[in-house]
Amino acid sequence: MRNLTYYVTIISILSVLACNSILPGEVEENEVLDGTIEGLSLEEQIHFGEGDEAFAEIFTSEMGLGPIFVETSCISCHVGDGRGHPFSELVRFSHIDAQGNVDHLESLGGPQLQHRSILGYDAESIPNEANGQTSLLGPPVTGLGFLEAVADEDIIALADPDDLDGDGISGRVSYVFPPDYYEPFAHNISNNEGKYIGRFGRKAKAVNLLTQSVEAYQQDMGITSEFQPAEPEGSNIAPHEPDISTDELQAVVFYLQTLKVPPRRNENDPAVLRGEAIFTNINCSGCHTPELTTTDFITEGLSNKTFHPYTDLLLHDMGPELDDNYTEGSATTAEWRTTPLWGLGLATDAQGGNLFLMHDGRARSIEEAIEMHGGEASNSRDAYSALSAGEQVDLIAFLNSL
Amino acid sequence: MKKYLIIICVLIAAVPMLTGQVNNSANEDKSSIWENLKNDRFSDKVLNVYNNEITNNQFRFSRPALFEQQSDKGSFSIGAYAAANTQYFVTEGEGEGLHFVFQNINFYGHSSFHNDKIKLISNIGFDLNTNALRIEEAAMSIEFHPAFQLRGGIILPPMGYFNQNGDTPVSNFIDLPMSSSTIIPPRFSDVGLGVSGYVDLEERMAITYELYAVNGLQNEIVDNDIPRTAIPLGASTNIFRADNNSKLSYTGRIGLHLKSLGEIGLSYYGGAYNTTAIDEIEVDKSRSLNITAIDGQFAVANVLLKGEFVLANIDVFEGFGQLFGDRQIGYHLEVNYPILTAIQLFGNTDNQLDVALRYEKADYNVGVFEQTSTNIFDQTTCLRLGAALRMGSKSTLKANYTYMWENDILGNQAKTGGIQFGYATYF
Ligand code: HEC
Ligand code: HEC
Repeated sequence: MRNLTYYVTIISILSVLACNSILPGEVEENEVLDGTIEGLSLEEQIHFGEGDEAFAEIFTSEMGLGPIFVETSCISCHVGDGRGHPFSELVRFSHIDAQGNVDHLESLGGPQLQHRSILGYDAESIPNEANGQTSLLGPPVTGLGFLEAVADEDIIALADPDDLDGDGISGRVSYVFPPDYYEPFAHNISNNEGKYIGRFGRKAKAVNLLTQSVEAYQQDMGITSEFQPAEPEGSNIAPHEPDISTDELQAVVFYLQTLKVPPRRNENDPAVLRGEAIFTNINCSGCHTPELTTTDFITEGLSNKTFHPYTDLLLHDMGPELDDNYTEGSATTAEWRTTPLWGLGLATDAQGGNLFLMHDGRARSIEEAIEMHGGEASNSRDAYSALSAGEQVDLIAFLNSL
Repeated sequence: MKKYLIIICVLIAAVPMLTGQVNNSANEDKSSIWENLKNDRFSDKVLNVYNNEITNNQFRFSRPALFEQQSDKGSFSIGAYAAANTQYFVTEGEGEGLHFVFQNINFYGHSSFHNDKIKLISNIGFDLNTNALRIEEAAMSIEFHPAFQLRGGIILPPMGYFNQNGDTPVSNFIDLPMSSSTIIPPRFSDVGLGVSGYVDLEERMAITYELYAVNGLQNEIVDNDIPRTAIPLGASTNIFRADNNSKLSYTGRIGLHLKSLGEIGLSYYGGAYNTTAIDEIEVDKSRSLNITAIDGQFAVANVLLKGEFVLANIDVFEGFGQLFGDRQIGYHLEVNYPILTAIQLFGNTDNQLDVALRYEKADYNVGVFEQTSTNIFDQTTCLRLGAALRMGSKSTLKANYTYMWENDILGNQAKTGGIQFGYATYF
């Protein structure tokens, strides 16, 4: 009996200890991307929560998934709100003729490939008519409200289409025709052709987060909405009530708008500070603009704020290596929107411990990503190659702190 | 409908008792080791299972009874077991708080008559998912020869070790291993007919077998919102629902039993599972799955080792791409050891304190991504430590510690830890 008491006591003590030390602890707040911007009211936080839930919602055929689709939830491509993985890539294709006319092959299911289908339907494959295709991974979806709140004139001011300053970088504003249901914010101004600035998507084709989300629901999951009531091209399904409500859609948009900016880590580390200076010296900052400011926007926490996305939201010709002979919006086939570098140091957390950078994940390390820069970024890339090994390490340390 | 069937099952099981006279004389025939065992005190029997004195299958027909009667026409017993626990789990610092879980309650009845040549077994479990009573088993077997018995009804497919022997008081752990609960459905039933038997090879060795044709699993295996190939979801909790295809499935197990050492078994379950037509419109061709398991449990020098390896191959609709795995693998290895025996407690001395360790892994999507040729993860690894006070052969008081590494399909990992205290007992 005494023995028993002895063992029971040991077990109890061990389990109490276990509670405190062997249960997995919380991840540091600056290691996660999910979380709200500061200053949201209680009501706004609830709205954010609804959007968070909708963003994670997994669709089934009963809920309207498909009939052809790419993935079953927003979160499966935007894991932890971070960068996408090649498994959840979007493939788009088109035919471009000798005169440069682009045909998105809509009658053949283009431009986006839906390579999955629900029971009873055939998934799509790329038609022979296509002569160019690209794979796209999801960019990080954090801090997007700040990007949406940048005034058009600020973006226009960053552009230098004719490279007047002679630095080899000629960023171009992406002007696109928005969909019919688009309603501009006060800071959005159309150009003389009636086009608006596209700032989201790898080719900057989406004018705001609502249109990006509507397209994502419809094209990536086959989920129709009030704004986009048709199933994806090639579905052959009769018109029906929208699969999701406008409230749910709006909650997702609000969620994207109010997701916090990726937190920085070790920002005062000497190597990181040296790297930051190098980043500017070799003019990475010529495209990856370190600092932008928002104008008045939907909520206090997004209005008139200075933030650090490391993008200029402009299109840049990145050279033949990154030219997939596919395009959309107003970009040329070699042009890509500057990817925001924020959250770069946390990319592996969403990519299964690996790193897949650039639009299709072809770069398996930051170094590789830099070496793949061509076209307008050639000078910066060459300047990077010319750095001493130590300086390169500092630059990478800085990029990893973002 | 269901209610009446439950009553009928109980009544059928009670027939021999109602018609017979009480007779406590022991069975004369002691020719085989199995027969000998039947006459042991029950408490010895649970320990016997623990020490591998009897086969898995034998054990089910000789659990502790709340009520037991023997007559010249046969025997009848009914019993029950239940388990509850309290648990505290934390994933990456976020927990659901301390909460209580009523794990299960299960009523069983056994009866035999005509010199034990006809046996009935029924199990009624409380299903926590549907909050309803569920008939897990209601089967009759007729013994023409020990090596050939006909058995049919609602059966527990003999998949792996746990499906037929998942009685919570027997294990030192509160949770079933993942291989027996997330790959092989936990305690699943099927309607079918088959044969079973055992053949004594020599004094200390026997072969047991069971083989059934059954209705089969259902389409929810891939028609779900996890989204993941989840065989347990295809094990219909509504056993009376019509099968979704016209093809039979087959299940069986062959075991080699070594008396006083242990048993090793090879089991199989396979057949068509998918819905091929919706509203009479053909939507897919017939697709099948097959699950193969090797289970073993051995007692060597007071150490009880248990283990299982499961391989499932599932033919999945091409349209789902690699989202739904076409192959799953799971295994676990468990070591149990009594560190204190003959503990005096509540006036009894047949209590023992066990310590146990279990390592388990389940991979729900075996393969590599087409895009990257890197591993498709969607897998969980788990380490469990347990201490259990086994009170007689009826009740077990358990303390378990769990640490789990869960990888999503891409390989992103989340760690979970948890502590559970539980109680499982036969009545
Ligand atoms: C199949 C994978 C996939 C799914 C599902 C998906 N996305 Fe995306 N997402 C992407 C890719 C790839 C891009 C880049 C697209 C482009 O360039 O047009 C992207 C871009 C975005 C962007 C723009 C980010 C930026 O920096 O420009 C937003 C916002 C977004 N997605 C939101 C959503 C929402 C909301 C959903 C769910 C309704 C969703 N996504 C579902 C893959 C996906
Ligand atoms: C001419 C403009 C330009 C310059 C200069 C430039 N970049 Fe980029 N950068 C881009 C564009 C555009 C992309 C997206 C390319 C793609 O997706 O294929 C990109 C992508 C990246 C990526 C990958 C991000 C991701 O999430 O996939 C990294 C890292 C990066 N740049 C770092 C740098 C560094 C470091 C420098 C300085 C040596 C630099 N860039 C200079 C335009 C530029």
